[in-house]
Amino acid sequence: MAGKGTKGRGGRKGGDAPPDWARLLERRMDPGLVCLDPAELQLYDRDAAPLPASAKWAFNPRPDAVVRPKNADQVRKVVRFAIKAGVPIVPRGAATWGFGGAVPNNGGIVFDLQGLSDIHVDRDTMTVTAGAGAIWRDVQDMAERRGYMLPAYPTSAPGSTVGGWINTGGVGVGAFRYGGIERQVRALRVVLPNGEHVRLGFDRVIPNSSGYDIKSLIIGSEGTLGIVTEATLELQPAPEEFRPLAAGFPTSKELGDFIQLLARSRITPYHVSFYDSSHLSNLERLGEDVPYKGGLVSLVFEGYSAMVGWEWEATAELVRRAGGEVAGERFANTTWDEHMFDLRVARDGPTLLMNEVFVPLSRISEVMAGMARIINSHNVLGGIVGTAASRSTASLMPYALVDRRKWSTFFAFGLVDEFAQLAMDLGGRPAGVGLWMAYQMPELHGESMGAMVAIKKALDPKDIMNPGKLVHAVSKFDIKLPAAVMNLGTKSISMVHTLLADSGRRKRDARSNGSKGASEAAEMVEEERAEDLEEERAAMEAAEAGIDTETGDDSEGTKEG
Amino acid sequence: MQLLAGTTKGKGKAPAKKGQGEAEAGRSRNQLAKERPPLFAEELWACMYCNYCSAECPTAREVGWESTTPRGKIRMFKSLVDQWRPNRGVEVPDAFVRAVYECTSCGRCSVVCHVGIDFLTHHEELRRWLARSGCGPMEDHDVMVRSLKNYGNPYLSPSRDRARWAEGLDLPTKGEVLYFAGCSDSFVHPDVARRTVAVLGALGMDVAYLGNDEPCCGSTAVRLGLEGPFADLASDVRRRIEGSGAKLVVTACPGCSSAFREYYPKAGFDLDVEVIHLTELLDRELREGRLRFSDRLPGRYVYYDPCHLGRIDGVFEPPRRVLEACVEEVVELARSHEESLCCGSGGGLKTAFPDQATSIGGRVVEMAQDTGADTLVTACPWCETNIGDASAAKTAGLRVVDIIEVVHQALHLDEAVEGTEKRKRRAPGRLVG
Repeated sequence: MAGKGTKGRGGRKGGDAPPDWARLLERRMDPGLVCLDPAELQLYDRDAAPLPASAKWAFNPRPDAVVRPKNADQVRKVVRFAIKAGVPIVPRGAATWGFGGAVPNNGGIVFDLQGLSDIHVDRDTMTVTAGAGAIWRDVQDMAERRGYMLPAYPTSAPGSTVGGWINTGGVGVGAFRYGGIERQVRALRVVLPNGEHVRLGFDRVIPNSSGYDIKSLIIGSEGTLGIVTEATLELQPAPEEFRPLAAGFPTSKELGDFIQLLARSRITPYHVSFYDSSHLSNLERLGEDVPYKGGLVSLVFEGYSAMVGWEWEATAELVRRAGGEVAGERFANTTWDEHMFDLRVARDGPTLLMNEVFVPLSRISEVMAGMARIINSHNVLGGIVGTAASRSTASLMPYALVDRRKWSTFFAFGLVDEFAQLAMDLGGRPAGVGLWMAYQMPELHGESMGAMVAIKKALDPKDIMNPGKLVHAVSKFDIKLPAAVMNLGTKSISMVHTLLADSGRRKRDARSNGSKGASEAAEMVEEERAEDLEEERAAMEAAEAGIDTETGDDSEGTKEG
Repeated sequence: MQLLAGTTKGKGKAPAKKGQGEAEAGRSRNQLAKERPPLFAEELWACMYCNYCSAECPTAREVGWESTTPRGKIRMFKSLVDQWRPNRGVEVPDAFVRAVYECTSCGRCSVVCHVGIDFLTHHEELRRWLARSGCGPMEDHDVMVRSLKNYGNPYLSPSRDRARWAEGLDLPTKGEVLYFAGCSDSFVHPDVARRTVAVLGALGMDVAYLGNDEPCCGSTAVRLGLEGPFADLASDVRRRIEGSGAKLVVTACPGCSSAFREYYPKAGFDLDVEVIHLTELLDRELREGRLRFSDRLPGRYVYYDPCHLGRIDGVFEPPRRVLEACVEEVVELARSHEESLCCGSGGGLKTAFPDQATSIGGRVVEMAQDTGADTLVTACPWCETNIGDASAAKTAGLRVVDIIEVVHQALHLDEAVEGTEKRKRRAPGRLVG
């Protein structure tokens, strides 16, 4: 009976019996901390990127148990249990990244760390100490209420956690001026793979020349060296003024020129983000008023009003020199207000295939052109969202809008790899590794891989801490995934998708007798999507009439990173 | 592998007509939904799993497990949609029913959604589907459902007591301005009802009321997805308001005002009169110069936006303007206006999960304490009750009042409120909400 006794979280169906160690763990911990309910466990089998069904041949992403600790001591106890039982542990924040880092490669324990969410501002040291599961926006709010600001935070701040961004080595809003998370962390509390709960770094002073900087090893380690339970971060005094500036450019070329001019000047905005023409037309398709078609840059300045005013004027001059146009104040404010909602274009996907890469800022126009070519070759709608991560480095998020319910979309997953490959060819790198990109690590790091593996072995000899990620790409069968095979696989599916795209394009060209210009491509893609949706609707109606239709590989998910 | 794996075999009942299959109090629930799930899955495919909704969702923050988060519910529901077959229906697991009713209907998820999914509207449709299929609401809601049916209010209070708040006031039952007290102010906060009438009287308005015949507005039925009881109540309300000859209906409860303005038209029960929340009326009187305060009350006050007055009905500034006119200092909570944090009382949560509701209210209390305010002012009896409970539970010492109490005091009308002490709650063990 629904409702009767529903205070519990459901029962386990036959055939889903939990392993003995999981039952033992449940008994040993406080009630309500360990969940073994299969329906609940299934919800922890993905992050922002849904797994294609085929990936489940290689990996078993469903945990055997999920633990939701309320304090660090409970984390320590579970880690010690896992060491004895030889069970893998996967730390998880809000799972808003898309590289599989917070998803098991072969079951085990997932730590849902969102219960560790205390936030405390110390005025004396000008720091904020936050639990690993604290949401960035809450940390930001708390800092502001106490008269400070965060030097940097992720663009996903309304949903992502402190521990997640530390473990993914985040670079986001504020990075241009203050650097990414690695520059903000003063100390970390971490449960190491030997079960010890230790403080790394110093709460009250900087840690230079005081021994090995182990906290820096943890930053960006994607949960493979320990479980961060708490972080102490530096704050900045709240500025007198925050002032956005937006500028439109005729093409990505002028946009790139401006960003380089800016990076080579002494002007230091708090944040710089930019959008290519395709992204802007995707926003227009959502019904938004975008006065600039070729490219848009959004910057924000902060500090004393006099300095902000000077930097704003100097930047406006650079915009004009690069051939751009400074937007009105209202548009600038609106664009800045939306800076944590850039991916709203996914509404029209409905599936967002995405990657994130870092490239040399000097080659930004070249990379953007290359990415546009890739998107075009797959005959999909797409776009590029980027930020200037520093004076030398740009972070780019190229994406494609596809429909995951179509069978051919499986082949579009190769796009993600093409974006990464392009970045590497031009001197850049993928932004994240996790489960999906781990096979690329030897190519990325070359000789230094040996040192990385040695560190992992020294700290985690039993390989229980988020195995299969970062330094070891292994499947659920404990078979190493060779880069050559993975590369071949992704290239093949990419090629198939390009061929399918070519064929689709030829069909359309034939239909339109070659009379339609390239500018109408987006319109034509939309027409095709409307036809597809019509087919979907017909299929649904057929199902209702009594004909069972099988749906796709799995029932959920939209985003692939 | 499918989420919520369960057999879809079994003999279900014929698809229910509107309101007919709803679980009656004490009756066993179905686990098999024969009716096709609502067709909103198209929009849900755009969910990016960004966690923006879950980070803001009061129950998800409180409980934490993925199944309580909007994104988790979307996954579970999509799985049910996939499993549903025309001739077999779909088995609805207890865990899903619980997840759907572990929600305060505050609508924050719809505002914060990265891709603009209106999850509140979908969620309400989902509850209606569960109720029509006989799978919902939960047994813990039986007390409220039974009370609505037998007493015409959610508080298990006899209807002969409804108008006790008006004893000695000699209010007419017909007139151009009708004060619709609502169940909460009639039974739980009679002081609000009396003060409202006193303030309106001081403004020269002769208000009528419906006495013991005033029906429940039906908002609690709407929140639980009960279309049948809602339609009965709405129909009764419309008939009685028409009979009163009212041209303007004033209420101090956002549950009532949002029901009349948002949910009645959707269900085909348009009221042919203007409906106004008390704070809007006071604001109008203030701006037109009829409401004047000779001095301001001392102290630091913080205004709390009730979900159904603010996010749902869009009324943010009128209560603030009124409050600013009659007190010395008004401060804002860290989360206000569209970002206001739910008090925890709505959507039937306080009935089925009272501890959760109080705990959620505790977050509002902490935010209020952070502002240094000594009084939290709200404009909703549900919020007043739950935040008050939370403040008491935390021994926070925060005074929680309805805005009419402040206005009443600032107008020096105190002598008119004899016998308005709060009544002992009648619901067994707890208030329903």
